[in-house]
Parts: sequence; C-alpha cells; structure tokens
Amino acid sequence: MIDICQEKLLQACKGTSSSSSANGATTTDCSLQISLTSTVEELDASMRLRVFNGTNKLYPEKPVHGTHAGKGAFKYYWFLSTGAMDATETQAIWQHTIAMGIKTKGSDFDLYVSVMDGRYPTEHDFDFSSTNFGADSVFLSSDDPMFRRSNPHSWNPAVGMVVVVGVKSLQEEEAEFSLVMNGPNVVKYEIAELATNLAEIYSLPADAARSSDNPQIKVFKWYNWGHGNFKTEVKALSGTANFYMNTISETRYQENAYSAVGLNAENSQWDIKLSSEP
Amino acid sequence: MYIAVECQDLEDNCAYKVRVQLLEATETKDLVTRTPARYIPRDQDYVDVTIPYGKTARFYYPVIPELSGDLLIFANKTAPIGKNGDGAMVMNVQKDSAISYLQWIYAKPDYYTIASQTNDPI
Repeated sequence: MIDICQEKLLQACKGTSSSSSANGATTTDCSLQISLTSTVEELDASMRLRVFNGTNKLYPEKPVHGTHAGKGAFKYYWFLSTGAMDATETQAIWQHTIAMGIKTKGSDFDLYVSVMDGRYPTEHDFDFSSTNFGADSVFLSSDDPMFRRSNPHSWNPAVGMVVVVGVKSLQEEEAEFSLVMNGPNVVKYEIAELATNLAEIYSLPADAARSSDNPQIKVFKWYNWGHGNFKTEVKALSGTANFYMNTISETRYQENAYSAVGLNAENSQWDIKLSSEP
Repeated sequence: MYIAVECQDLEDNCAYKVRVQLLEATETKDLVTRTPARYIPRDQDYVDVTIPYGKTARFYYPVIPELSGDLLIFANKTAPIGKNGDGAMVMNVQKDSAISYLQWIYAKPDYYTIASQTNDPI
C-alpha cells in the first residue's frame, strides 16, 4: 500500500495545468502512475488494486457527522491502522474503538467493519459488526484472535491495516449520525466486559506515580439486553476510589460508545466517592 | 468507445474480426505498441490483475489534490494462500495529466517517487 498525505500530493503536483472550479477556487490536475511488478518466480501475482479517497477518511478523535437515507443503504468510511506496524516489544498493545451515535431521534443505523483486505462490508460480508438499536460500537484490539498472527498464514496487521467502516441506514427517511474513531494508541483506560450476576474483584498495587492528576482508570461495560430493571453494586475493599456510571440507550441516543464513557461527575449519570475506611 | 456488431442472417455463418489500432501522435503515425495503463476506478470499485513473474502492470488514477484529501493506494492479493506471488508497487506523480498518455512518465523499479513491496506469504 502507498499512503499519501494531501500536503505531499499538492507539492508533487505543483506546476501542473490548473483549472477553476465552480466556486472560483483554482485546482490542479495530475495523475498517479502506478506500476505493479510480480516478484516471485513460478508464481503469478494476482492483485486487486483500489484507491481510498481522503474525503471519507476517519481520523483519530475527530468525529464526523453524516446524513443518510434509504433503508439498507450504506455509507462508507475508512482509515489506515498503524497500531501493529508501530508496535514494539515494550508497547505491543494497540486498540481502536469505532463508535457511532444517532443524532436524529427515532432513527437507527448499524455498523459493519472489514479489516485488512479493503473490501466494503455489507450485512452479509463483514469482519466485525454492531447492530444494536441506537448507538453502536466496534472494538479492534491486538488481543483479538483475528490479529494474533498465530500461524504464518493468518493476517498480518503489522504491514498496515486498512479498516473500512460501513454505516447502514435502517430507515427510508434521511437521518443523521455521528461517527468517531480512536486509536491505535491505547487510551488511558482499559475496557472490560462484566457478566451479569458475576462479581469481579480488582486490586491495583500501590503506585507512586498515581495521583488525582494521573489516575489509573478501568472501565467496565455491561449490556442490559433484556431492558429489565437492574441493580449495580460497587464497594471499595481497600483504599479509596471514585465510581462513575453512564449509559447509552434508545433514550440516550446522542451518546456513542466512546463519548458515553463517564470519567468524571460532569459526564456521568451517577457518581460516588468510596473509601474502605469507616 | 463501444463497437456493436449485429448479425442478422440466420442461414449463413456470421464470422467477423474486429481490431483497433492506435496510432502514435507523430507525423509518421507509427503504430502504437505500448499497452496503455489501466484506469483505477473511483469510489467502491477496483481493478483486478494477474501478473506473470517479472512482468509489470501499469495503472493510473487522475487526481485533483485540492479535493482528494489524503489518499491510500491499496493492493491486496486475491489468489489462494500459497498460490500468490509477491508484488512490488511503485508510483510516480504525472504532473500534467492532460497530455497524451504516450508521454506519461511511468514509474519503474529504478525510477519512482514512492515504493511499497509485499513479502508476506498471503
């Protein structure tokens, strides 16, 4: 793959014939000449070549808003993950969260994601998906079996990984959504999934670097699939800890799996400071 | 360009030959022997190619850099595991795409602006 930033492309095309567009801006026309050479004796190189355009590229931490109409229609976005490419022995973990929120009340979209081969995902052909009513999210991580490279024939994200994100509209009418991606650097908190009725106990050893300005954060995720009443219990067994709780649901449809993570009292529906001391 | 051939006589065989020849944009109008580069389609489309060992396939992608944003040129292997050779991809920027393709400066293994190579068994 060849990744070209717009700035370098503008420099390379400088001095070409120019033309004016309808809004009066001057543009330059050039073309990319690409040559593919087969390099292995006795084997043909069968290749599929495509170009991803920057107009629908996702950048980390930069949300995009899109409108979309037509039941079953897809709108596509893409990004290049360099997480595995940049991984080192000391920093081998990488993560991406692709999160979508609904901006138009009562509407719904689903997320379908393909990785590695650049194909445009559909509801029948995808690698990851999220089809909840309301907000959706897909989590890509170096811990996922798909990226562990457990045998030499499995996918190797260390050569750079193209991720194509498809947003499927579930209604005929035009509706608006927001989409955001983060990563590949690991965010400041780890997300673990909680199983219903199973209590989890975590212990963090004392750390001189830990302070109110540099807290250690762990996020737990739980799905209330049945939409039933639930009770959650938190308890500080040793030391002190702050707990925050937030939700995304049909009624809190403007949040997405990234923005809904409550990390302080301001963006949480519920919060408490607990201490093990009486 | 489209060429349509219509056979109407049901009794006799309908055999025909169609050939298109390109002439060089020169005064002598020499016959073109060079295979033109193939166009890479836009949006969700792609182009498939099978290249024998040592051969090179050429492609082009017209671009308006002010409107295109960041670009990614992506080639992935399509043959079964173990049956697909590796490939080397090199790229050149053709400054003036309006000139005849016979005058384009194609990227070569020893002349390019950007290169990428796969050495993965997939």
